[in-house]
Amino acid sequence: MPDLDTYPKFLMRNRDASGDQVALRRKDRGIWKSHTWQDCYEQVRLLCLGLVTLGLEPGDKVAIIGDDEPEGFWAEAAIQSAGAAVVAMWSDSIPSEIAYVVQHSDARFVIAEDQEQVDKLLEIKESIPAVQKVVFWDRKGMRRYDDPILLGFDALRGLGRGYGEGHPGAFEDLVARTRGSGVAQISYTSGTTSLPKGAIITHDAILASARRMQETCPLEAGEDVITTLASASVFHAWFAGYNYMSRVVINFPEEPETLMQDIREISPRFLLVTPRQWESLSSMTQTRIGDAGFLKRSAYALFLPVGYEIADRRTQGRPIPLHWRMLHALADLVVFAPLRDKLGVTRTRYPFTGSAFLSPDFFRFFQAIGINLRQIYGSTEAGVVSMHREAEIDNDSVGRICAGAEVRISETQEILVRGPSVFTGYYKDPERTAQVIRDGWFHTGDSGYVSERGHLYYQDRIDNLDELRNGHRYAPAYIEGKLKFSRYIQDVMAVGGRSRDFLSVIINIDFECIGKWAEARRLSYTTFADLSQKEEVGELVRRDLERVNRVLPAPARVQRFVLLPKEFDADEGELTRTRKLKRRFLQTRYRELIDAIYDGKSEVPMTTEVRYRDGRRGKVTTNLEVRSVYRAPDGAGAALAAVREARG
Amino acid sequence: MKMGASEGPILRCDGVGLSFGNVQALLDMTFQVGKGELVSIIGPNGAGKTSVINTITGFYRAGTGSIHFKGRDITRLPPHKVCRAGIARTFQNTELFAGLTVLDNLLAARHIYLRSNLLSCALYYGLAEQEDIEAREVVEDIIDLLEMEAIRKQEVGTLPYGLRKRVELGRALALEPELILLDEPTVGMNLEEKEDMVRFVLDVSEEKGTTVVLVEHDMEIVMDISDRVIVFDFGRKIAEGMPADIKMDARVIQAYLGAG
Repeated sequence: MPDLDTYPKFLMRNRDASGDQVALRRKDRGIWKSHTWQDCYEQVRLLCLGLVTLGLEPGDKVAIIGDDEPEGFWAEAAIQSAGAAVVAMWSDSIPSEIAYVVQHSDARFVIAEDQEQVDKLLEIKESIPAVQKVVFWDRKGMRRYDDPILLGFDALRGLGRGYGEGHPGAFEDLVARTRGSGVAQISYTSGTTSLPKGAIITHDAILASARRMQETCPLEAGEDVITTLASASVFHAWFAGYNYMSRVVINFPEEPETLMQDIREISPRFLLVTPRQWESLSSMTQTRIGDAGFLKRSAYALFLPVGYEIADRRTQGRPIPLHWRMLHALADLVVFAPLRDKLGVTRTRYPFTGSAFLSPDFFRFFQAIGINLRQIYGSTEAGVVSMHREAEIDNDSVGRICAGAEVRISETQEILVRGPSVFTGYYKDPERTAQVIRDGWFHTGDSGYVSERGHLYYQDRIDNLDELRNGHRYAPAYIEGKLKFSRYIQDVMAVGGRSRDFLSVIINIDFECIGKWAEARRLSYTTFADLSQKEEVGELVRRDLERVNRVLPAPARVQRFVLLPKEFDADEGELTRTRKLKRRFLQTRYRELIDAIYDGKSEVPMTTEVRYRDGRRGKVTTNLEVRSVYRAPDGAGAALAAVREARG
Repeated sequence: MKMGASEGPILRCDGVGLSFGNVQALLDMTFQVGKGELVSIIGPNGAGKTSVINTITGFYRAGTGSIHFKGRDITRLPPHKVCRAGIARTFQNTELFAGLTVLDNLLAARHIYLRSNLLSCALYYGLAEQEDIEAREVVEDIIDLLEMEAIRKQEVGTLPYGLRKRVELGRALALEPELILLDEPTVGMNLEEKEDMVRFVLDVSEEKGTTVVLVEHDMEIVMDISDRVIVFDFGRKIAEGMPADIKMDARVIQAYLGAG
């Protein structure tokens, strides 16, 4: 028994061991159609031998462009079976990008989905002279194309069939010759500022990442998953491991546009969709509820707060009293379970998000309706680095570092990764390879830290970090994002920088939410300004800060804070129109306030100009409390003492 | 140039006249459409473009002249028989079942092909089952061609206008016609919707080899995709020819611009 170190070898094993079992399913003409391992083997064999007939040699490169369909999936396996490497391209690439990638990767063949992709390739035909054939799998609209460079899938399979008859066992020999150390894929990462770089990834690296996923989130043969990310994404290659290694049935949606409906029909066990897609699922739910009948709307409005309460208690580690539990069970039965069914996650054990930040509101929403989103951290170059296991999901970390992945935090707080999942280098670009792989460690360009529990925390890109006087680097946007998880905080700005010893925050309270909270406690207030300076409100926010501080590294913990008597306002130039903070402006505008925080004052007068409804302007002066997160003169106090001392 | 054009006309109108009281809607209308051709009919408002479609499809009865389809006289056939003969049409204002799904709308159009009796339909046995599967296959092909997978199970009434027009085209295609008459398929659409629709019309013409007669106001589209253009004015044909020639034709320019 040869070592199973490439997907094609797994394909052979599966065909021998369970040839009549379903390997993958596709939705076609509205019906899910199954393909057995025997089918897949046959497809891959014919395509592989067809390419070999055309002259494909081990070590060559073949580019693939198109939507995620079984044909592309088979083509990838066919290319790798022949010992060649897949160059995966994004289906929405424009012709000039395709030209660059095909040229740079030295691809000899291009496999394209349909007319749309073929048109792009024909347009740049002159600039990719090394390409011998463009093979397409969808015939629609291709009838009148007669360029000799084009070849249909049927014709390619025909070539493969002929070759197979002349050379029995040829395919098996080729597969047996594949090696884990061989190049499986070259993934071009889109450079926002520079030309794309082609990351070389070996079979070993892909399999290492795939194993980590399967160890963290195990699935059994015959269970269902669905492909959600483009085939060009490296995640797709890791994900394929469930199929090849664990014989999980992989489902292909009908069209990218039908993905959401198809997810519901399959209800996959493992589901990774992008933050944007989770967001659209959430807003879709809200819209549908808005359109629903009176009864459903009322039930939703009645029970959603129960979900939120439970979710909040869980994240904050507070106990859940029995009556809340009972209420929640009822809410789940009446509202949340049907909702999850509509979203298609009834059977989903591992709902994942990755690759970018999902805003706290959405996390809370999904938790409230019983979907505990997990995070995965990884990249084309690093492979899968960390994932959440069951029962240790928290919104703050990006998961536990997987076995086999070595992670180190550099002195500049950069996340460094080492291990079998890391890529080999950038194709034909030793210079940029040397920039990111130093002393065997891949430098991710991300900043973060590792907790005692072995969880990895991602903060921000290393370039967005700020530094305190003591040299500690922190990520303002990250800390602000964490704080915004709190229901009571509307907006927040972190203050620190090279001239200061500790972090402080300026907070906008969520007037509506805190207003309700105050009413429930019979706490009377008049205006926003009045409410914001209440002792009880200060204490409420302080507790939130204390909680957030617990997940931050000690030097980056927030020591003092001020609750602003007004909201940040886009009309006053404090926010951009998309409600992002204009930091520089705010720093100048609230100069006095910030100085007061660091001078150790406990109160500072702030005068704001207000415009009344009738157009008159007036000035209102409020005395703002400068509060400390920790009452006892510990961190903040000590830091303050140090400041005073330094100034003499 | 399309191959089929030499095989002789699939549709022939000879001296067709149509009048409503004293209003002469069509006067001595004579033209032919070759098999596989994509012919556009243009003309100012009230020129008789929709009238000629209505006359061919049997909604109006021609007063004089004759209409032949594949050599057979269809001048006096009622609409449902014209349809069975192999001519389908779309309407300027979509005519669909708003309460049915896209899929059901297309399947409903297939009823002209159903031959099974009530009993076998009720038992879903034999011919009924076979026909049902056949119908679904044809309809799914159309859904694929017109890229309607994502709206397959949606009620037509809930769809935006541009998509309803696409469903309307799909409904006409479900009849598997040899000749399809499209009455202003892009009217009221934005640029993107228009581009989509034009691509689908071309696909229908090229992929399925269906003969297409297109009534259209958008000159850019007409000049872009037509094999031949016929120009109407006040119920008469005033010009006929290749798009490039029509653009230069003095009578056409006069009819459109009213310049003397």
